[in-house]
Amino acid sequence: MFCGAIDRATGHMSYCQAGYPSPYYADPDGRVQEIGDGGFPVGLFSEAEFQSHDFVLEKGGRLVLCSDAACEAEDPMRNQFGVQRLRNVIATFGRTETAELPGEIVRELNAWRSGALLEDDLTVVALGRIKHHDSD
Amino acid sequence: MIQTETQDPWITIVRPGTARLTAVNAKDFKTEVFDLIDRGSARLVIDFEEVSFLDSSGLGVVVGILKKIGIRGELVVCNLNADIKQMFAICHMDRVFSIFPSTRDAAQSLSARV
Repeated sequence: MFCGAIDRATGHMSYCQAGYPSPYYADPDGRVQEIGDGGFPVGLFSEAEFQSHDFVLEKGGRLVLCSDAACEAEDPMRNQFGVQRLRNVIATFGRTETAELPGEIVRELNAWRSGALLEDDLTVVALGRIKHHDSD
Repeated sequence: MIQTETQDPWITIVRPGTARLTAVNAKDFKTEVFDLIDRGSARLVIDFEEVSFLDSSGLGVVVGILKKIGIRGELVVCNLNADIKQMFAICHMDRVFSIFPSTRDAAQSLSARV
């Protein structure tokens, strides 16, 4: 689980991560990195402590969140799609409209699966910080 | 599904008996290990040597086993492959479980805690 609050004017994001996987950030130059270093899964331990962290989305940068079904999607030979391929897909579609990025990721996963249904539920969310905000 | 081995009168090695501990079979695994605990085994080593893939459901069941044992015994894990070790790390499970490179190391550690 990943929870973040973003200041649309500054791009500052305060976030907390619980469990896995980490979200991805694609900077304006197309470099993709994972954000966060994990955390206890929600609901397993009543005494677990969660910490919030800070991150700044640059103008033109975007945040991509995928549930574990994405990197755990397997091809017919049971090879997982994995984190690196996911990063590559996000980088490859770096110039695609943010709103279309989830669809592209789903298409890549379907191709990897050779059309077979995913074994887990899938969520993909992409957020982009536009380069010219009204408040700038 | 599970295979067990007693290395010491009070230590039981549990092998999940599957290469994939996932939502598909995690509940069966949990039921079998809970039954083992109900029959008196309380110092367990879960050996992941033959497990190549663990998903969030599988991880949840391993935590459930830890809670089931509670204060009556101990649970440690061993032989985690790189992916499973990484999953334990990102979910901070390496702060909850003692992780060993082999069943021998795990059993020795439990023996030393008697």
